[in-house]
Amino acid sequence: MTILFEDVSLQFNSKNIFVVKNINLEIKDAEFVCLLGPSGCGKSSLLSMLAGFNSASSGRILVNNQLVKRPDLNRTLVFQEYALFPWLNVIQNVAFGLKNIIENRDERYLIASRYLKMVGLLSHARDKISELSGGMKQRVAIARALAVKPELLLMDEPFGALDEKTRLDMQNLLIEIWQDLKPSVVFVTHSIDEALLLADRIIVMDKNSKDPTVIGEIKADIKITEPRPRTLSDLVEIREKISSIL
Amino acid sequence: MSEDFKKRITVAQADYTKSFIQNVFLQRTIFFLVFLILWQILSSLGIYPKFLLPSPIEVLETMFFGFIESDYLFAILESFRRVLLGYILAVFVGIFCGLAIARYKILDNTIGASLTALQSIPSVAWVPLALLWFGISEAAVLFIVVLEAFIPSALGVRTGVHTIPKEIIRAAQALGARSIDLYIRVIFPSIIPQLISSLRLSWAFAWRALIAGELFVNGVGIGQKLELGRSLADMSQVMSMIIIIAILGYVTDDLFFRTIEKKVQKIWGFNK
Repeated sequence: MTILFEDVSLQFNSKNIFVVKNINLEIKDAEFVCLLGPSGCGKSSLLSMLAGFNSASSGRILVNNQLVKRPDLNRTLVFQEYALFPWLNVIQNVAFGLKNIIENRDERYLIASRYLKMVGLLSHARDKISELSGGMKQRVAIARALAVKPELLLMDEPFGALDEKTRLDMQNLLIEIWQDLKPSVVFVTHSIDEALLLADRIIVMDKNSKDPTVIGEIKADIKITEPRPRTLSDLVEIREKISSIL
Repeated sequence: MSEDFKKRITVAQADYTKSFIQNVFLQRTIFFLVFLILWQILSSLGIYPKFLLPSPIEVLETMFFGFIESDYLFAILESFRRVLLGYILAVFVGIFCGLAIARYKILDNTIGASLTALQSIPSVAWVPLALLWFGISEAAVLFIVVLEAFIPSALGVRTGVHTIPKEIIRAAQALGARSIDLYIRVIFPSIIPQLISSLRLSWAFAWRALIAGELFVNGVGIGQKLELGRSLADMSQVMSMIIIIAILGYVTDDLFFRTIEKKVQKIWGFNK
């Protein structure tokens, strides 16, 4: 799936303040892109425009040459706070998005269980959401987002609420799944290390220091060609480069 | 015996005493026993005339004979039927109204704001109006019950919808849930914990409004029995009815609604 931001601006509540202004960005098919930067520099705003929740004040966003107008099954999301449906059990959560695609319930559950297996939770298919740990919840959320076979996976600081160990496990799992299914991924994070370990490409964003009417801007666009799995010691140079920007 | 062992026994005894005192059922039983004994003593002292302060035993007697020889059970069932009818109506109106004001800002600014004002009016204040509009009839009672009981449901649904995390809605939208589908599959289930609490509140309101209404309307019911007790200066009947109201209220609220509420909160994952 190819994504194109053409001169995209987002204005803040009709006031003369821009969250972001004149963003131009092209994301290639199956590319893993991290939007990296501190809180409040417009990363999540870009993500939510891309998802179709907010429309750009000016400019346009094209996904596979189609204008983004509203949310679509082809672009699903994973949030920091999981956003699972607590009244449904694990497999019902994963099968949620399939309801509008596949008539047959058994078929839906079959597909859902395939994705549950992928995230290692098949044995928890009938568990209640409230019984799961944070890491397990996020696995369910990833399975749910992937089950509808999106071409683009949007992740908004998905591992931000997890402890260090779980976070590492989840990063490895995500890379495994991504290499298997090859969706495009746009991954928002404020952790340099996380971006370094995951991304093909890091878009570095920060608060705009020059123009007081614009809140955030893109500072750098860095490609990472290092093969996975990576260790941070291979990436010291890039790390320093990013640290000097932020 | 070693010092340590003695210490441990003391701690165990203290724990036992503590758990004895903390046993809720026991606490309540003792409280009511003390209350009944004081009541019995006060009544047998003869300071107040019998028809103003009957003894608990007399009240119990009245209640007993009321059930086996009079129509107490029928009165309770009639009241229950009435309140249930009004309650169901109220809940439907309340949920619909709540969803509407949560969805449309203009309705929230107008109807939503008036609901809070409406809620501050005690149900008894509606009785004269209801009697003039509907006559001395069951419809008047139902009117008061619905008017009182729909408000907590409506306000609860509104709060429930407003406090659904944005991410839940967005996740659902991205997964293809739209308009009616979104309401049925996500918004409605999301508000269920809040809704149960509101339904519970609505029930309490309905119950209060029912008794207020029944006091003024002919027919059979707990309120009418209360009023009859008053006009016959039969204090033991008045007290019997008050006790019955309290017990019914406790049973429905604590045993029925609280149980569901706890269960739902556990599933939805916010048990405290």
